[in-house]
Amino acid sequence: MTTVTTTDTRRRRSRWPAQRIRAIAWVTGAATFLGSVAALAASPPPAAPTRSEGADAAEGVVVQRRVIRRIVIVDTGAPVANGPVSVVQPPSAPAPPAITSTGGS
Amino acid sequence: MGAVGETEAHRFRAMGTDVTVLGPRGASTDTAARSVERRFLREERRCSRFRSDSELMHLNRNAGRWTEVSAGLHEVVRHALDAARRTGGLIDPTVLGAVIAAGYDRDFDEVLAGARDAIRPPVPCGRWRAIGLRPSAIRLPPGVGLDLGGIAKGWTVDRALADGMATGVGWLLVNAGGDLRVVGDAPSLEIGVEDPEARDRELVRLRLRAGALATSSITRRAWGALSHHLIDPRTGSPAVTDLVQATAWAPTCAEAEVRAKDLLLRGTAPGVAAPSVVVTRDGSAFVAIPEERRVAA
Repeated sequence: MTTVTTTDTRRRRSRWPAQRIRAIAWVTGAATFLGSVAALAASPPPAAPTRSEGADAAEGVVVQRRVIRRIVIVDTGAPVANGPVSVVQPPSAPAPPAITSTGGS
Repeated sequence: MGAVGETEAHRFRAMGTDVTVLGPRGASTDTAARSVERRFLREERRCSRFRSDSELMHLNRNAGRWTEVSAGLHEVVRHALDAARRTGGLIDPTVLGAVIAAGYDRDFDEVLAGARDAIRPPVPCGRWRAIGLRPSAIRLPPGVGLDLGGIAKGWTVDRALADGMATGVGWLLVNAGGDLRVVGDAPSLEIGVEDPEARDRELVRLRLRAGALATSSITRRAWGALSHHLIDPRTGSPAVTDLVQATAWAPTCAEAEVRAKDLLLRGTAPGVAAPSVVVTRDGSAFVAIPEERRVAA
């Protein structure tokens, strides 16, 4: 009987009051939340396009609208009469539209 | 040769691009165009990386194992590997991981609408040498996927023309998003090379009597500065050279596609290879195509 009484007493002493447990839970929860917010704030922004050094150098050259300033006809030898492909001489008058076009897709 | 005014055009959409079929006016062109369209739809089911049920995606999912493939897919892959060998690896079919990492991870219309995953660091390419070929089977290295893209499109133009001509039509031109070829007894056709910044503006006009023209450009299928579909296998990133567009002529469309892409990736450093039209970043267009001999009046 005496032994049982001692155990009960020890159990009662080791138990924390509900208020303290509640306070610890609130503090832990708040700290976790604030820690997550801080980690998010400190992390780098979402991944941006990865660029190499060469790309960075060329970036300044990329423009929204590139204007074709000159057209250079490279000398490929004598003009052809019936080759598979040739450059059409610029027409003196407005020409009808080409039958189709190529420009990448 | 018939007059250009007597041509008939049929249009449809396949492989994520607009396809135009031109032929002589009459019922024969209509029949031929339907045959061309059937071929495009068949090859799209076979070679598309945007369809989970395509044969290509089945092959990609089985990377690391021998996979039985159709004769058609086997032929396209062989063509791609041949192009890789001839260009020293600049044309590389194993860029799938890199192009997805660059942001082109779904149909292009959806990419443009912003529905894509975050851009990830470049992915190494160059695994085409490790692809195994047997008479009717292919083995991709583990973790490697194929993107046949323009290679399959140029190849399909050639196959579709063969199908169309088999219907008995006199001549045909097929243009799949700028990859085009004419076969048969065609009139000389005037083809505009588009300005890379404005599709409706003509940079230069060519007369095509035979063979194919293909254009590779980094201003189309682009979703931001330096974000476009053309991967440089040397870096695993979207290509950055001194060119923004290259148009090349070749006897077949499959070959013209290879030459155009090779030109664009290589840049002008080795000199402009004929016959071609290239546009540089600084706004110069170099036309290395023979001029027509002027006919005295």
